[in-house]
Amino acid sequence: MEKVQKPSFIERFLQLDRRIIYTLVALAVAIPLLFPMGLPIKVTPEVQSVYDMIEDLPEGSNILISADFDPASMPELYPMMKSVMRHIVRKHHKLAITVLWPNGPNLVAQCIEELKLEYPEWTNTVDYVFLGYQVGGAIVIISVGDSFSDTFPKDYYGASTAEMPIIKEFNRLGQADYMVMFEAGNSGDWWIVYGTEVHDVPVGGGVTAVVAPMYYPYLQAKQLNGIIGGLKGAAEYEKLTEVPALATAAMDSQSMVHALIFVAIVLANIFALMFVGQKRRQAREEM
Amino acid sequence: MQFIRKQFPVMLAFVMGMMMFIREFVPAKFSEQLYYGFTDWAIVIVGFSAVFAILSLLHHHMNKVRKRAQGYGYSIITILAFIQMITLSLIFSVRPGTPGGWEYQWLFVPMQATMFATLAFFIASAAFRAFRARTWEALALLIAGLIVMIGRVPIGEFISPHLSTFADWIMNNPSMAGFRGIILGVALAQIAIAVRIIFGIERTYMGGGD
Amino acid sequence: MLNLAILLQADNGLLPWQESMASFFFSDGMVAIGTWVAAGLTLFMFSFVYKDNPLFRFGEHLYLGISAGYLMSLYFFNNMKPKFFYPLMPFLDAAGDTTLNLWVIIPGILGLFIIFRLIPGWGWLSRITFAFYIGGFTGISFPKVLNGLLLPQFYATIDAIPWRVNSIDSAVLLLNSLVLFIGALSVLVYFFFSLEHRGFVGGVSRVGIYTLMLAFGASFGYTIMARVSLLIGRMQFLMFDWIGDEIVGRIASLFHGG
Repeated sequence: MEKVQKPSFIERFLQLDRRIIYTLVALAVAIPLLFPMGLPIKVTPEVQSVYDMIEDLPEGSNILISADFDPASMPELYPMMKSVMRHIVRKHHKLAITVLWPNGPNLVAQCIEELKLEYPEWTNTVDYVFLGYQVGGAIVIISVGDSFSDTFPKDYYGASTAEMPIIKEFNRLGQADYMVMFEAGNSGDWWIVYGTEVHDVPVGGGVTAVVAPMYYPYLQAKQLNGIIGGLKGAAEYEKLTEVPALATAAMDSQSMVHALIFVAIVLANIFALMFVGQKRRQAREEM
Repeated sequence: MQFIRKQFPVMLAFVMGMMMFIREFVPAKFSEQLYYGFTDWAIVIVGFSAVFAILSLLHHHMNKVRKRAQGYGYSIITILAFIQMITLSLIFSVRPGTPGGWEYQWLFVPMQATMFATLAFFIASAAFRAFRARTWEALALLIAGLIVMIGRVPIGEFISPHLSTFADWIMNNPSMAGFRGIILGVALAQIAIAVRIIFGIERTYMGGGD
Repeated sequence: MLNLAILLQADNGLLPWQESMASFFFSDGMVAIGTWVAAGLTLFMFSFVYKDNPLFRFGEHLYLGISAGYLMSLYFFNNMKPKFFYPLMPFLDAAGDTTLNLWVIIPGILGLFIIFRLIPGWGWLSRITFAFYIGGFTGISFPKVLNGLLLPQFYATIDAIPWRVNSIDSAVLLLNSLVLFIGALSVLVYFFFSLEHRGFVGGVSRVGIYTLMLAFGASFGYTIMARVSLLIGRMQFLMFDWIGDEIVGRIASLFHGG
């Protein structure tokens, strides 16, 4: 009868049960949340550019935000949107907010309510207008180039936009001094092609990490003035605005999981090479 | 009737395409009115198409229930959830502070967020099991991935500032070159498809609809 | 008419009864119930990591239904009401600031043609709508993509190359810009399948492949970051909002007498 060879350590490692991997990932997330390490966060030039733009604009400048994301991207984009909006409120800029993704408006409403608790003097229809969601994607972007009030006859709360004090001075994309778009997909491409390039408005991008690499060509071509990429970008902006929050708290967990996956991939590749070498040696010995 | 079914849409696409293309080079008030008038109408049309998408989904689930197909019980859950949500939201809207808003915050958001959060487990498992540098190309992908993965988080900067420098260099040079090539290719393809649509060579966008 | 009035009132600013309703849904009790429901559904969805099961299926289909209802109401309130119904029937607008515009009948009819796809034998009408919309939009996008995407990106690729090198910094800039120029060009060559990838073209194409591999590697690193961020978000909710506040917090308040 043939002897059944016990799998070697290398084979057992390479065939590690996925539930062990899942458990290690969960622990790598949970432990740093309970016991923060406080790893330092370095601010990258791309994020600094967005911050500097908002910081250096004269008080009362018009800024458009487009929050084009949904709950699936909320952990990354919500903290950065809140940080940027807090910065805009502190600098007393005028703010108009649009949403191109249908599952996003309530998230923006929640952010506005949280900021109003911090800054109760921040007034709807005077300091900001939340225009809400409109169907159409690129068509909406073209339309806001003409008029916010025609594209959004009612704001998110159901009030008529045409007579609002803020709309009398800031009623189309071309009147924006700056724009920040929060993107979970490719609607950022549409904003650049149909919006900011047409009306010559500088724009910064707050994007999820999945799509961040795709926006770097726009940054190099100066079609974007800066990129806040992923949760790390959100943590950098929180550092700049000196209000550490969800993103900063998540950085240690982020680091641990990345380190875990890095070590796992490197070990798997090393062991795979050793396994191949082992098999070749066995084959030669049998010959 | 054949003319309206087959030839008329192609002619309409040509007329609309040429009209909107030529008006780009006509600096007149009428040209601007045409541009924004089209977008106003397009927003109404897209609204109807969005409603169609939802009705299509419901149609699919109602068919499943009617035919007692496998898993039709779950389709009943979908239909009931839709009916209660649409009723509440049409009466009270879906803003925070309404029943629809409450459901959005405590049912919809957690479920959608969690669906995508589970991907973290799968990506870690897949990376461990399948990410092997068997070829030179795979090795290039692996090295770039590992450097960016560790260099772009605080632990990478903590281990060595050179890691984040390498990660920055990869993002701002070869990675950007690759994605620029993709963007240029996509832009060229978009232009080519636009010409094909306007001249009626490409008609698949019309769908069957018989 | 009364139901229609309620239908259209719901989105016209906060009325007193709506303010009372808002206070109820933001009360501690409703937030607590919501947290428990959200935690339960989160665990249902996470159960898929182990294997597909009825709890996950229930959550998935519940999510579909709620999502469809939410989206439908959004399309009605944000799009159809202010952009179609009010311009046709301005008396419906309680705020009274919509003017009559009968021209919206035309896009309305075109929109209805799309919905006719659900009716057997009438679906062909949707071709007219698609021809109108897609034809018009491609006419708009042609010059916009050329001016807003293609030309700026080409220009930026060439403009990055410094034509004079007189320091270490400009030498590094030259090197980086050549990586960018050669990389972008070689990727375009790689995607040009009308030419056989042999000889010189094959060589350039191989450079394109390696450039793409570096780009996708970077993208992979960032994708890991994105997915892990989403997991961290859910774990923060489960650990702090649910276990921390609702379980441990309430037990602790019992011991401290409220």
